[in-house]
Amino acid sequence: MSAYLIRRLLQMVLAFVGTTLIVYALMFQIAEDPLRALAGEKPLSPSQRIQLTEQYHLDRPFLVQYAFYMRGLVTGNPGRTIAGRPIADVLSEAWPRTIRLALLSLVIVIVFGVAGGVFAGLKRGGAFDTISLALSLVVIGVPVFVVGTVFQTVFAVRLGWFRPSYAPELGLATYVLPAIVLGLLSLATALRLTRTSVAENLRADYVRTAAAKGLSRTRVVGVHVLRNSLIPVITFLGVELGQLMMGAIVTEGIFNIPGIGGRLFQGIRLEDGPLVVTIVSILVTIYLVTNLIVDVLYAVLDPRIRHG
Amino acid sequence: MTAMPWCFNVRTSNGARGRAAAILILVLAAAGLGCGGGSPESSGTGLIVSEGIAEPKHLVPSNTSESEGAAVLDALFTPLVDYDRENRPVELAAASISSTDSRVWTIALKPGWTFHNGEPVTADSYINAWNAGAFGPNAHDSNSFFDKIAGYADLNPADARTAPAAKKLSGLVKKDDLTFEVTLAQPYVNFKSMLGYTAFLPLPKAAFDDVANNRLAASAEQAPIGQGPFKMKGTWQHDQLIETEVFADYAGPVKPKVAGIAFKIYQQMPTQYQDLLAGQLDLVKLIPIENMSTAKADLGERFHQSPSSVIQILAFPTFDRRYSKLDIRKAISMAIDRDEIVHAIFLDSQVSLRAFVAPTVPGYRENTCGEACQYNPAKAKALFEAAGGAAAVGGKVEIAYNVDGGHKPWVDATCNQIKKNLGVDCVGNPQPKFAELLAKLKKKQPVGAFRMGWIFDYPVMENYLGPMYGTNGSSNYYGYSNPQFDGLLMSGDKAASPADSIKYYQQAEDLLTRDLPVLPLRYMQNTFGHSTRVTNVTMDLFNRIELLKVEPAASGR
Repeated sequence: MSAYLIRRLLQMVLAFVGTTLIVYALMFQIAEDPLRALAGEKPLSPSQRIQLTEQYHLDRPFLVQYAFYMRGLVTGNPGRTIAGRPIADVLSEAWPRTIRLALLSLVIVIVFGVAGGVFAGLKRGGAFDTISLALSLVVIGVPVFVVGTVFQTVFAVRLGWFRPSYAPELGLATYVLPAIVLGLLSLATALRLTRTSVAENLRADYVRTAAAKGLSRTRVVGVHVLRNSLIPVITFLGVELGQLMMGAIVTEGIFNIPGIGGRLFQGIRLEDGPLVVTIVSILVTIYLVTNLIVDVLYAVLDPRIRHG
Repeated sequence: MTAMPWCFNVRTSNGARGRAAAILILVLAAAGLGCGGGSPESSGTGLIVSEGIAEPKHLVPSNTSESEGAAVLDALFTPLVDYDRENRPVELAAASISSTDSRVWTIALKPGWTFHNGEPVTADSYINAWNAGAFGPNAHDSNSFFDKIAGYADLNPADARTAPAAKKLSGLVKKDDLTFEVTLAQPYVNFKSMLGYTAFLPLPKAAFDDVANNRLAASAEQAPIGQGPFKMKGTWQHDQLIETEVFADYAGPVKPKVAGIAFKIYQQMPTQYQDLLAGQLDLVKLIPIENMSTAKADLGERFHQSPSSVIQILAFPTFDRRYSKLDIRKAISMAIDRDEIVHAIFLDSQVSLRAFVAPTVPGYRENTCGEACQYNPAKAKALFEAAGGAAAVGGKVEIAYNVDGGHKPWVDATCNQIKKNLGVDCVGNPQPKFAELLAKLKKKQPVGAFRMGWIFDYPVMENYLGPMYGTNGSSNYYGYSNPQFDGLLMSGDKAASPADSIKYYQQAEDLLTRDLPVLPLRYMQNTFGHSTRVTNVTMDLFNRIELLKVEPAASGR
């Protein structure tokens, strides 16, 4: 197990350096004149040019720029945004909001997706199963910005059940509608995945054996079927937490939540290289760590899987 | 308005929806949610009006050149001059602004004005603020606005790595506590018109860490102290909110009619509009094009339009031989049906422009572009063929544009009109950013004709003509150069009075009609709306809502 962990951690370092290098190159090297890009349509004064060049080491070779930047990032000092705010400040304000949104979304996915999936799987071919399948197909087919805008218009503007945009004074309630929109796609996938898995396991030999032993149906379903059915779902949910944080770019934009997705979107629009690279680096790390945790969790859920 | 609408709904609903809602409540409880709390909508007696903005870049006057920061500063500060119905400057914070030779200007301030922290407004408040803005190493966005003032060059050495020769503008001299003298490097008769711009606002001593070295305090950005009708309530809550409340000691002639302005910061325009419809936002200064088709029906009398100073043009790089013949440019112009494009593509949020300046400046004349901007496909085709036809433009007309600005639809429509009316192929040439387009122009790469927009900084014709068509104009990216034109601008700047200067500027504009270096296409309309809580919502010249005029609606709330 420990050999496996070390191997995985080394792979993570490689993946981290690779991704950040590519993103850094995309943000800083692709524009013919990165300074012009920072300034928009207005002309830049010579003083502004000098300040920006020094701040981002733009006069040094690319790899040196990257090394300077990474040193800052790893030591917890990722520099300033192009508007001059410390990036650390921006992120420490934005993260809690995105985490709240993503976790609430995950809770909604687990409760409705997994529960609905189990229910549909147990009553395969029933009305609930058919309707939920049709609905999840629709959800999977429609892009999230369409769902977001439609939900905002219907539930917030027309019906007035929610506020159309972020209102911090409402506490967690302000995240409910965005979390539903954000989680809808995952919910549909989780539902279909659980349903198939449960339906398949219900027909497995060990379930018939358990029933033949005289175990109650609750115990058969609750312990034997569920435990085995949840393995693919847990994989999916683990990876999904990372996805939810990235999916927040669109959702946070629509509902005006000043979280990490919104900052990333703004950074890309304003070509704010340092901000984008920092956020992407953190997202990559989260993605890698959740993947690792999921792989380790396998062994816990299914004793047959051993990491050597 | 219930503070937590979804809670309210759970209590009142029944049947299937009630069960679903009950499940939702369980989930929320599991996520640690409660139904308590809520917030007061407004405090005290008056109405707090909310206005939607995007996150400002800066909130220091001389470092704020974009509209979002300017909207906030307009609430916190009052400029030296305001503009009358004909867009001519009239004294506001100043008692008088006068000059005998257009070079040395004497600015006398009205007595009795104080900053929000109680500090009196004096000549030093202006001198210190302007010096800090003009000081090269501060790298403020509006630094170039001070370049007309004598001594600017000493604060901004050509090689920015060297230390400036001086720290203070030699052209700014204090006469007494309420009077100072501004000496310009060159006479400029319209200097008074410039003074309404954000860059020329004053700063209190409290805004500085070190006045002698032009160093501003960090607090000047996070909680700006002005002398305007509203003062900051707390600090700038980045990406969320900037709250202001009425400043009781405001000395201006018009007092605010509302208790405060809350600037709500949005990431996207459509969300502002949704909030307006849901009654969560009072003022929206730009209704996005996505919502234009329904906005009139949604808002009724709360939907407004007024001319803005933003113009859109199609420019021809002078180094590109394909467009060097006047008749080719004229034919392209006459083949474009401007009215159809503003109607079909922009849903009348823009208006056809047939002059080289916007209608918001004194001296604007309709149709100065004359025949060249009138849609006339038959004549266009004849001119085009006579000038060499498709072969002269290398087989196709190209229109370069930046894809991040939403320009594709109208560029495609323009191309279709050119194709149809001139019988020549026409294609759009998308560039990722305007900056990249400029980099290619600098290297004289043949990108084709290209689009460009311009917004004035102060209402003077020269502010369009100088930067866009002057030989050394800061935004003359196409390289138009005409000594006669430059001479007329110079004569205008030195004219005896603003009215006289307009005559020269108009002659200069006539030269543009003759040479047609660019094609005027459209000017923008301010398209704005407000909630039922407020009334008397209007926009000023700088695309800002006139906050002092906004009133609570009689029947609203």
